[in-house]
Amino acid sequence: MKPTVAVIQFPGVNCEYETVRAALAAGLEARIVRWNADPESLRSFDGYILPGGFSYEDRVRAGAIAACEDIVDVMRIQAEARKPVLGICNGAQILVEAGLVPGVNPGTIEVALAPNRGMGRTGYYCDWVFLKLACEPGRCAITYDLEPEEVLPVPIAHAQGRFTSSDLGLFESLQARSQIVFRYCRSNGETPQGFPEDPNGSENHAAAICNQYGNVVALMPHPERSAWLRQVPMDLECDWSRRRLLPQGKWRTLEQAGPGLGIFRSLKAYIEEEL
Amino acid sequence: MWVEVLVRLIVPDPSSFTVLDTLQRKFGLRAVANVSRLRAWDIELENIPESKALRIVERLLAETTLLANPNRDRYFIRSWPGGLPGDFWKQSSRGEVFVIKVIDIDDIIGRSKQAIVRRRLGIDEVKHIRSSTIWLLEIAGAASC
Repeated sequence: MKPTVAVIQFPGVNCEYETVRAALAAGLEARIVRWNADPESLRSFDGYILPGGFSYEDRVRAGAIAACEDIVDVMRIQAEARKPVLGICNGAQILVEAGLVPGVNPGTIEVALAPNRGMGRTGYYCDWVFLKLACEPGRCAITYDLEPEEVLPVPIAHAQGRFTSSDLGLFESLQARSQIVFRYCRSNGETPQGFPEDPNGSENHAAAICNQYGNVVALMPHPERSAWLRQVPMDLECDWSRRRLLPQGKWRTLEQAGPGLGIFRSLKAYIEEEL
Repeated sequence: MWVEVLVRLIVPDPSSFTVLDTLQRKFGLRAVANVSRLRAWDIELENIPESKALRIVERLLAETTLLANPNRDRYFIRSWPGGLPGDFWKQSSRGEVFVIKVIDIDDIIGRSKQAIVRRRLGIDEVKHIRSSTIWLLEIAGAASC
């Protein structure tokens, strides 16, 4: 039987359908569950994905209102049973506002996803970036199927994606505990020199962080938008772009897996091996 | 010399309603009778007479929509020659209104407005502009507690 994941549809999210498609392509059984469904109905799922978008129109702060929903409390309980919870973009903002990530002191909001900042610019930014796996693949539910230090081209699209904290030492300790899952990097995997390689000025160039058990992950980039080879631009300096360029016109080849699909496959592998 | 500009929407404010709904429905805080918010612009000007400082800010508001748009906003101006007061609360006729002022640590919005005022509009008397949100929480019956 395929592992089942619920993709939570809060009012204002806009990536739920492509997230479901990517999860299905990875071999998961995925279903959209509305935010006001009976919270108890969530218990039967093996994992949960909070997709990107603008839940509650980003009122007050991105993710702040959705984080107060009953359905998030159910995910909090299910996460204690080590079920995976992946928040993508706005979903990441919800997990941070709910205190589920990084969860050093569970229930406490320890980090923020602040407005982008870098090179004197701020505001919404949409582009392809490179991510480098910053922990051991087995450390985290979304990296099980990846290679050590793997570099992935993935798109971002956010205005509030800068991981930061009032505790200046927090990100060093997260790094020491391997809770920084992905970092922004250059196309060759080296440390970014600033914007646009690091698109938002995140502490420690963090693009994704997880809780201490590695099963709850806040990921700012959008793997569902790079789940197929056809979605990869042809002008990036990486093998993925070269692979995208070669089969021009051969649509079957273009339907092959893209760099983001590994994250969904990892989720499947985690559920099958750990639950 | 500081001048505070308080801006209130005259059109419905969905954010305030969402906060009220969340506090009442999700947190069970039925005592919160109303939530509203103001945008506050704290403007520091050079050491100039109060009347001149007010004239500069009034002209800024009248001739640009940088800090408030008269089609959707109403604004109130207060001057603080001795510096800005700290957080405060005040009484209202319908119970107590608790005032919470939230200042973004980075204040990217305030800094960008400041840059526009100084560089593009050339108003050098303005030294700093700081933006913040003032939440007004009306607590029913709190006055009698």
